[in-house]
Amino acid sequence: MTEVLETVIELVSETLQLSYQVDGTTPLVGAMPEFDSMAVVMLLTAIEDHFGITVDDDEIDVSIFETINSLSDFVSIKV
Amino acid sequence: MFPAFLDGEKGKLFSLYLPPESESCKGVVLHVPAFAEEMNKSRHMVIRQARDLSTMGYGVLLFDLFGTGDSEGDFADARWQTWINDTLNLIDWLAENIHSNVTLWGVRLGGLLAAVCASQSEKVYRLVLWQPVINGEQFMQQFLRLRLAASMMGEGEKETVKSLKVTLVKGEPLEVAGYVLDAQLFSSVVDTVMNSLDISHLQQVAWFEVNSVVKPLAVPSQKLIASWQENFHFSLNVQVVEGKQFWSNQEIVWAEHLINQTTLVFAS
Repeated sequence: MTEVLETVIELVSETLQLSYQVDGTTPLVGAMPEFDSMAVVMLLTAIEDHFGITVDDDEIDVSIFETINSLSDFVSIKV
Repeated sequence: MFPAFLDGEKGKLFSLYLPPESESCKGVVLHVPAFAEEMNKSRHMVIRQARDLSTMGYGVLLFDLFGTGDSEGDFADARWQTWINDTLNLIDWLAENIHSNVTLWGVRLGGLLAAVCASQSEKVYRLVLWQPVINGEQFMQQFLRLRLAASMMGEGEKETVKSLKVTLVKGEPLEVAGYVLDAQLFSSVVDTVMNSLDISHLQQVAWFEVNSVVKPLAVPSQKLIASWQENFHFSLNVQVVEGKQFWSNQEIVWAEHLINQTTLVFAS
């Protein structure tokens, strides 16, 4: 597992206060009840703070949030 | 605890006064609340802190800003200037009737609002800030993202922050996460930055940030604090405490260290 993926998993679990284990293939949007618009904003803020990157609002697209892997891929390009 | 409705500029403001639980009153603390959902997420922390301060001998006044909580007015009627005026009036009233030593204690956007009011009132002695917003524009950008995220997951047309800003600049209100954001409130907050404020008359500033791991302050905060140290003479207490970011967390969570460390500021 890459370091970015590991961190993204941590951030997702922490931000959404998940009580169960998740991995790269865990689907997010539309599949996880905790994953609402507030969660998207919190997760983006946590990712920006943690990796020191800026996510442009135009980049925010549902495809990024399909799974934890897709989110991690998006972050990997930016760091 | 004494609940009361106080007269505000545009309507009654719900307030809760916790008197000092000691014979002599050490000072008075006015709480300036956070914005929208962040206020709700902070309430339990605020009341716990207020109780601690009251036990220590401080009188603490909590209130809901006009258009929020149990105060009169709808969120759509809320204006930044009304919030400033109401807060300044409460400072005057507390200084005259309770104690001349007035502390303003602000959370998130309430921290920025408290700093604005401190810069406009010589009566404020001390400023206590919990994870303060230092740049109103950045804060509003993050708030608008809530609507963006909702549109991303919905069926409708995809929006951008730019298109939302166009609506607001035209003077039209915008609904974000159940809150009707007035265009004037939006633009006033956008125009407010902490580093332009003259708070030189203050005696003490305590600045707290909360993080799940203790790490250095955020870079913008570091810069601001460095400039305060250079230009102002108040005593400055800056800390990053370990804890959950209760104002944004989906669940109601506690940041115990924040309360303990804040209480220490008032013990000195």
